[in-house]
Amino acid sequence: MFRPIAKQPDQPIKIQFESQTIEASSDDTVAAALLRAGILQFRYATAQDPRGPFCMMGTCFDCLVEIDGKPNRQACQTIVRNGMLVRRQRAPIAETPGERSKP
Amino acid sequence: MTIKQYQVAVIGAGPAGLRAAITAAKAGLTTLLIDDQPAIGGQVYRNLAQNKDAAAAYLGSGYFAGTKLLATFSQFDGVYWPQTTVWQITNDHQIAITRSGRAALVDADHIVIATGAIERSMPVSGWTLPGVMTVGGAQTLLKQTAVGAEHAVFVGNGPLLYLTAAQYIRAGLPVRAVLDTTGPKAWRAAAAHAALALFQPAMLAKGLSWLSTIRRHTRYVTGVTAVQISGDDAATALSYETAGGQSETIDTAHVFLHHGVIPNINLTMATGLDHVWDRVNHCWRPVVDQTGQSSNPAIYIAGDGGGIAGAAMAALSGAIAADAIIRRVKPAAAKPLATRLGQRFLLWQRGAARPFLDRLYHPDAAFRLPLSDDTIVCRCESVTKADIAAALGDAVAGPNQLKAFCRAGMGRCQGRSCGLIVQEMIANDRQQTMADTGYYRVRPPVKPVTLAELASLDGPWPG
Amino acid sequence: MTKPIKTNWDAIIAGGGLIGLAVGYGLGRRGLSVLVLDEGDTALRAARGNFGLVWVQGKGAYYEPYADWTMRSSQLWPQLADELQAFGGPALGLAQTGGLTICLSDDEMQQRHAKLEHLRAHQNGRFHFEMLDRTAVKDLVPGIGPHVVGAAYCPHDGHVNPLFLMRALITGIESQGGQFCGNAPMTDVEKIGADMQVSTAVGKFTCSRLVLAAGLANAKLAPMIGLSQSLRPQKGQVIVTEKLDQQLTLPTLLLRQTAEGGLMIGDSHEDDTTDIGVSADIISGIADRALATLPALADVGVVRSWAALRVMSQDGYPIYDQSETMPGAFALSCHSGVTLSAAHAFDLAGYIADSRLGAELAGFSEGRFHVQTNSQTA
Repeated sequence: MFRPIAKQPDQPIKIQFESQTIEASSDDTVAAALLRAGILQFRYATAQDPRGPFCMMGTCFDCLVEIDGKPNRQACQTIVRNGMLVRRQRAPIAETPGERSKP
Repeated sequence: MTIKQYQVAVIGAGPAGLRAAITAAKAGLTTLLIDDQPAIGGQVYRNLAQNKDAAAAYLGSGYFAGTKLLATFSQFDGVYWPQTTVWQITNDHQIAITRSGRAALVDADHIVIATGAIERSMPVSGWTLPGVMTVGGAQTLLKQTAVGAEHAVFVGNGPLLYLTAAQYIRAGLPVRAVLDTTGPKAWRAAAAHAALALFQPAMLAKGLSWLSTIRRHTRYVTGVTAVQISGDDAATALSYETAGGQSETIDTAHVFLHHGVIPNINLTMATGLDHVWDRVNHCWRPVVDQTGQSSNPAIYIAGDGGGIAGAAMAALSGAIAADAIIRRVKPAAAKPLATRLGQRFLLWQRGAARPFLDRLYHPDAAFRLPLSDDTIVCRCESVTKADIAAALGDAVAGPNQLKAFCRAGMGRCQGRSCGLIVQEMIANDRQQTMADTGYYRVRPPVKPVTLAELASLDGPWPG
Repeated sequence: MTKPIKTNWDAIIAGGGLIGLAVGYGLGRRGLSVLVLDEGDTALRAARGNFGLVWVQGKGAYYEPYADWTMRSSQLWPQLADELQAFGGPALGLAQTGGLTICLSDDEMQQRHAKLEHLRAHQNGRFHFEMLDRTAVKDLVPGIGPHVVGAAYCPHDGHVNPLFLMRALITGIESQGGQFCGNAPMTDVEKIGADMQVSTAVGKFTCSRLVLAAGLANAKLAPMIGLSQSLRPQKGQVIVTEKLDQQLTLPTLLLRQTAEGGLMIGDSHEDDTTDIGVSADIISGIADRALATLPALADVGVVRSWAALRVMSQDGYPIYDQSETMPGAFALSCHSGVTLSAAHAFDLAGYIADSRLGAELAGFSEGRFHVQTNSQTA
C-alpha cells in the first residue's frame, strides 16, 4: 500500500475511477492519485496479465487508462482535473488466449 | 503547419536542458525550451520548487543542490513550452511537436537534445505484476506526491537504488529489505579505477552514508544471484538466492527494481544520428565530440542522454553544448578559452569516479536477461522469453527480423523496455557481439501522437 | 555469422524476401534442397514493409496477364495458408472475405468504376465487384465519415499478416531441410557445366537452380546471369495505431485492422527516395485521409510508422525471366509479394523446378520493355 508520508496539500479535486470517487490535489498525476487510493491494477494486457504504473516517467506505457472516453492515456503523464472519469483500459479485439496470435 | 524560427531549441528541462537554454538565451540567441512535463527539473529535480519545505529533508542534499539552477531559470528570457511532446526531428532539423492537441513543426538552426536517461530493464520473473516498479518510479512518487510504500523490497544496485532506499528510510517508511545484485567480479573490475574515484570524495562519502543508513535500518543482503516475484493480481512475495547459497521468500506487495540507467536513445536514433555500443556501460549512446556535437553538426546532446554521468555533469555539459553553439552563431558572446578549459577540467573531475562506479555497478548478466520461459520480455506486446526463443534461428540476424517474427518491440514504448534484452538474447544465440547485433530501427513518432494531432500538421494528401 | 551446412544445393535463392521465400518454399515442396542467401538485419527489405493485403481489385485492369496471375494466386492462397499453418507458428490470419476501396469524391468513384469495369471485361466472368453507394458502405463500416461518397467492393480481396507469412515460409523451408543464411548476400556467380557456383562472404556454393529475388539489388545481380532488370525504388510510408476494439470487419486499400487490433494506415507513393526515413508531412496527409474515412479515430494514437521502397519495374508489373546463358538461373521481381505468394510458391516454383517458365508468364519478361524499341526501328 502506498501511503502519504507528509501532510498532503489540499485535495480539492475529485476524480472518478470506475465506481470510486478519489480525492487529489491539483498537481497530482492520475497515476499518483490512483496509487495513493490503493489502486494497483490500471489495466489488463490480457485477462491473466494485470499491469500498473512501472516507471512513472512515461517510458514504459504500462499505466494506460481510459480518461474521459479516450483510450490508452498514460496515467503518469496526465494531471488530474475535477470531474475526470477514469476507467480501466478496455481490451482490444483479439483478447482471449485462444484468439491471440501466439507463437 | 505552424513553423516558428529559433536559433536554438532545447529539448528537455532537466539540469542539462535548463543550463543549455539559460546559457544560450543569456548570450542573446533566440531560444526555445521544450519539455513534456508541467514543471522544470526533469527527473532528478522533479517538483523541487514545491519541496522546499523542511518536511522533505529526507530527499537529501543532492536533490536540493538543484535549487540554485532552477532559480536561475526565472531569468530565462527565451520561450518555454511545458507539456509539449517532441515526436520527430526531421532531416532539416525541424522539430515535430504536439501541444494542446495540435501538431506543429518548429524550425531551429541548432538543437540540443537533453532527454536524459531511462531505467535499464531488469526482467525478473513477475516483473510486470502491479506493485512492482522501478526505483526511479518509487522516487518520483516520493518527490512528486510525498507518497511511499511500506515494507517494500529494493532489488538491484547502483547509486540511485541506495539513495532512494535511504530516502525511504529517512522519510520513516519501513523497508523490508535491500537485495544487492552486485557480483564479486564487479569489485575486481572496478578496483583498477578506485584511485581515480578518490577525486570525488564527496560523492563517495554520500554513497557510503546511504549504505550505512540501509545497513542500520533494514536487511541488506549482498551477492544476490536470482530473484522471482510472485502474485496473482499483484505482487505478494519475492524469492531470492545468493551466491553464498542463501535463499528465502519475503512477503511484500512492493518491489522496486534498479540496476542502472541508460541513455534514452529513441529520439536520437529516430533522428538518424550515429550511435556506438558502450561496452563498459552495456548500452547504446550517441556519438558525440567533447562539446556534445553529434554526427549531425546542427544537433548537440547534453546530459545523461549522451552518456550517463549524473546531474552535476549534466548541467555542465548543457553549458558546454550551448557555448559551442554560441561560438558558431555569435562568437563575440562565447566564453573565453580559459573558461572553456576550466569547464573541461570540471567535466573531467566530476566524472572521475565514473569508471569505478560504472564497473562496480555493471549490470550482471543474470539480471539483464530473463531466466524463466514464461517471463515477459516485451511488456507492451506481452512477448515472453519462450516466444522469443521460438522465433530465434538462422533467419534472425538481428532485432528487426525478430521484431517482425514475434512482435517484440512493436509496442508503444518502441523498445525502451525490451530493446537491450532482445539484443542480448540474439547476440547470445548467434554468438556475436552486442555491437554487431545492432538494435531496433527506431522511427518517429518517438512518442505516440493521435491521428487528429498528426492530421493537424496539414500535410498534402500524398496520393 | 551462420555458415551454410553444405556446399551443394539443388537450389540457391539470392534474397530472403517474400518472392525468394515463397519460391524457396515451393521448391522445397517438390523435394529440392534449398539455400536462401540474405543480407543483414537492417537491409532495405521491402518484405518487411508490406501492408498485408491479398488484393485483387484493380490489378491488371490494363494488363491481362497480371489480372490472370493475381486471380490465380488469390485462389491458391487458402492452400498456402493451410500448408504453412500446419508447421505451427503464429496464426497467419488470412481472411479473404472481400475488401473495399473507399472513395472520397465522385471523381474517385468514377475512376475506380471505370478501371474495375475494364478489368471485368477481359476476365470472362471470373472477376466480380460492386460499386457501393454511401448507404451500402455504412452498412459494412458503420463509422464512415461524411466525406465518404462510396466504395468499390470486391469479394476476392483479403488480407494476411505479412510478417508472420515471412516467418512461416522460413519455417516451411527449414522443415523441408532447407537453410536460411543471413549476412551472406550473393556477390558473384559462375557457370560450371550445367550447374552454377555462387560466391558469398561465407564461401562458394553450387546449385542447379539459381533464383535471383533480391529486390532492388536484382538490377545489379541480373547481369551476372546475362539478364537485365531495370528497377526503380518507390517509397511508401505506413503508420500503425495502438490496438483497438473492432473498427473494421473488412480491409480497405488504405486502412486495415490487424488481428491484434492495430490499424494499419497507408500509404504514399513517392518517387523521391533520397531519404528512406519517415516524413512528418506525408504521415500527416495519411492521417488526414484516415480521419476523413473514419472520423471516430481522431483520438487514437499512432505508435509506429515505417517507410519502405517498393520494387518497381518500368510498368509496375512483375518481371520473371530465365537466363539464356545459364538456363537454370532465373531473375524474379515484383512489388506485390504478399498477394502473389501463393502463385510464387506453387506455380512459379514448379516452372523453376522444371527449368521452363510457362507460357502464361510470357507477359512478364523484361523483354516487353524492348518490344517498342524494336518496332520503332523496324
